[in-house]
Amino acid sequence: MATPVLEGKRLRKVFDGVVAVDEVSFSIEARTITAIIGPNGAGKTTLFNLITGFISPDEGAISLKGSALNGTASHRISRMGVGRTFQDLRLLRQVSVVENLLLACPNQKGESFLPALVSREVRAEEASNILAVRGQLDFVGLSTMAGELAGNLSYGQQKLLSLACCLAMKGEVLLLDEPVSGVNPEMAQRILKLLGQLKEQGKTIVFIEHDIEAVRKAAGHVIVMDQGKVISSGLTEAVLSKKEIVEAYLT
Amino acid sequence: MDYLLHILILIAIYTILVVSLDLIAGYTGLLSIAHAAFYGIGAYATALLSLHFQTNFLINMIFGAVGAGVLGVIVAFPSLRIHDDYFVIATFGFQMIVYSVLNNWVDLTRGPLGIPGIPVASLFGFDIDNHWKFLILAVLFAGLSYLFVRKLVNSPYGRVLKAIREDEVFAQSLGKNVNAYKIQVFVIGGALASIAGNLYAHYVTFIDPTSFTILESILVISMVIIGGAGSLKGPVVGAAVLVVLPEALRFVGLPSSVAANLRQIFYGSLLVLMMLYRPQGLMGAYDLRR
Amino acid sequence: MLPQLLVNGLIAGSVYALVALGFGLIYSTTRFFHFAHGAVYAAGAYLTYACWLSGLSLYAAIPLAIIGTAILGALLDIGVYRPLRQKGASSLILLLASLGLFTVIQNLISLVFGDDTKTIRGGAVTEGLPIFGARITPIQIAIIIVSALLILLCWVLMKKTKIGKAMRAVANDPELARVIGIESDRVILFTFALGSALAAVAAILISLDTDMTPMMGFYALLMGVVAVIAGGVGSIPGAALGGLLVGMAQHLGVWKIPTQWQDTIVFVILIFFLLFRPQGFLGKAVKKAAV
Repeated sequence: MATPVLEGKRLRKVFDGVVAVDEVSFSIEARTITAIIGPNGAGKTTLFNLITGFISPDEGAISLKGSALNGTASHRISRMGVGRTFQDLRLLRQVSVVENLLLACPNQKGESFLPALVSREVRAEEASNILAVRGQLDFVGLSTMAGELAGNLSYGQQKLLSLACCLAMKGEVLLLDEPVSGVNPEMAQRILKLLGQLKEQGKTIVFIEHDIEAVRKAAGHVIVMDQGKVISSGLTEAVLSKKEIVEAYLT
Repeated sequence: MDYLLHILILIAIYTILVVSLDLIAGYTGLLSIAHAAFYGIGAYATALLSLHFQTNFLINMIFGAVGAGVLGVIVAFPSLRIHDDYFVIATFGFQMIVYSVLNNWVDLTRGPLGIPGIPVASLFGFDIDNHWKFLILAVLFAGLSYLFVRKLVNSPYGRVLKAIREDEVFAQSLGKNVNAYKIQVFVIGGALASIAGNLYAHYVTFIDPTSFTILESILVISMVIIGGAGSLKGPVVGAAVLVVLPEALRFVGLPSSVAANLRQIFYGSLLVLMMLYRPQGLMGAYDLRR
Repeated sequence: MLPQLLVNGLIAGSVYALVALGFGLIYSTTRFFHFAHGAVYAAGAYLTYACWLSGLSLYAAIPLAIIGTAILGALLDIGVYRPLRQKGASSLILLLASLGLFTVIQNLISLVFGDDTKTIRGGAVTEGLPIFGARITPIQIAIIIVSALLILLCWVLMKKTKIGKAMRAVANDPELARVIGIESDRVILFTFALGSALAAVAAILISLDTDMTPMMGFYALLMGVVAVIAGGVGSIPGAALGGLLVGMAQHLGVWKIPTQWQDTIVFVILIFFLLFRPQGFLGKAVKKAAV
């Protein structure tokens, strides 16, 4: 049995007396797609925030391929290979699609003060990043929108862009918060298909969703959360056919 | 002619102040009304060092920049933890503390009496002892500051700053160490402002705390905003406009205190009008509306 | 020595509490820092001076000035802040506009009345009645009492009256307030009028004790801001508490620290609160944007 890529042990987080995440443990294997489902307020996004270091757990531990994540700054966790998107679709709307993606490119010398001023390599680095970015745009199907301001894209296209930014970081793990909610069925199909392709390319994906059909189609594993606890987890069909789950969430 | 030189020198000095504040407030989105504090540190550093140790103004500039840099780290610190509006208040507090120190630490700064007799700046034995020479020096520094900031903001480094301005959580999630950038821009911006202060001190040869008050900070941020925050060219235009237009009042023959009031009424009204009708400023770059 | 410092702290604190109260009420309903409040404060004192100069007795001048200042505050809202709100301006734009307004009003006062000290005090400076080892003049007693009364009245206003409840609704949740039919523009207008009137009272009280200069508004604003932050934005008892804290810190500080650093202490308090407890003693939490 390979070591899990992402593992959480007995995580707990309390906000103002409310237990947002309660004794949550999980284990995500490499090259899998796992969905996290549950009602609003179940603690799903809080879990994402804990994993990505935007908040720190009161108790418990998180590790990425064996090395501890909790206690590490969020920007460093991103660099370690854990990318994420946000429920309220964070993007730089006042700059172009390409600029958004260039920002996401990792390890840029030009982002440090001295090199930005004096290094000759920055221009070459930019050029190669622009090429890489075009490749990512092709992959998600946004090539025609390259020069467009991100704010002018449709909602579905913005979702594609935020996925692309996540990919541009070249991380192994992708945490997607509601990647298909609010988009039309055609776009949802497109995005789910991309997720499948990414899995084939070796990525590990965890996504939060409310759409059970999307979960059935795309996710091999499911974690069900409610009131901060993990109610059930395992292979998708097995979990989704359990009576309690069906009653609570699918009716 | 001498009057014209005076105006141009002031514009050059304010250019340094506005590009450095544009870096902090315009490009990174950290609105600060503490800029006069950095300006003052540069001025006092050179005044005190030249008088006590007869050091060259360039050496003093380095010391001033270091001092301003340290203050920059301190001022940046609250921005890492508190919400935007409250951060402005924090910068306001720091500005008042620095002014207080300049005004009250009489043993060091001579307090309200100020420091007279600041020696002429001298570059490799060449004395900058008239307005023409000073203009050249000031324009040189202004040009260098402008090019420096421009290089920075047009690079990937600048891209990160603009990302922080628009959505720092997004920037952080893409692996950028937002806190480090915020501290850096305050250090860089503050150090540049101190250079302006150094030049100012050698130009006017007498400084006192009244040149480095909150009103001065408000003037500089007004220049940036009115000119167009986040565009570099805009703030320079703003600086020129806010230096030149009120000077026109002198020709009307008003007593100097009245002129001083009118000048401030002028830029205060301009700020209000801009916010109402053109918040992105004259050269409109970044839209301050949310 | 100590009793006198305590009394001085109480007097100063009462004035700051009034300024903080007006400033805080405006912030809680509009969500931005109305820096021009300092200039409105000064306008209150100078309006009184102008009325008095034109022959009216203080008994007539003072109420007129208070009403005039309330109108000034309302005009600032109607003329500048409301149009900005309607354009969807961010709180930063409003803050910048208020900085501009502050500069304009303060300089107008300076232009019209001059920078020298003006007085509306009737007689000579009295020595003050001895109370508990300290000296306090009748006017200073009035400052404390009027201030406490007004704070109490405001508290009652907020808790018991219709307009007060509307103000609280707008402060808590502007969207919801609109949904239940509260016209937030009208509520905000009232808040500006009320806050400005409070500022005028504070300025007049202080002028009756220690005269007026155009810079007085600036100074009061500083103290008011610190008081509001320390006490907790949006809380009336908080404003009172914050005002008292600032007044006390300023005057008790003199006991151990040389007088000229009196004000520096206050700003250090400000930074301290901003860093470690931005919600102040009694306010609601104000952390950075949530993820």
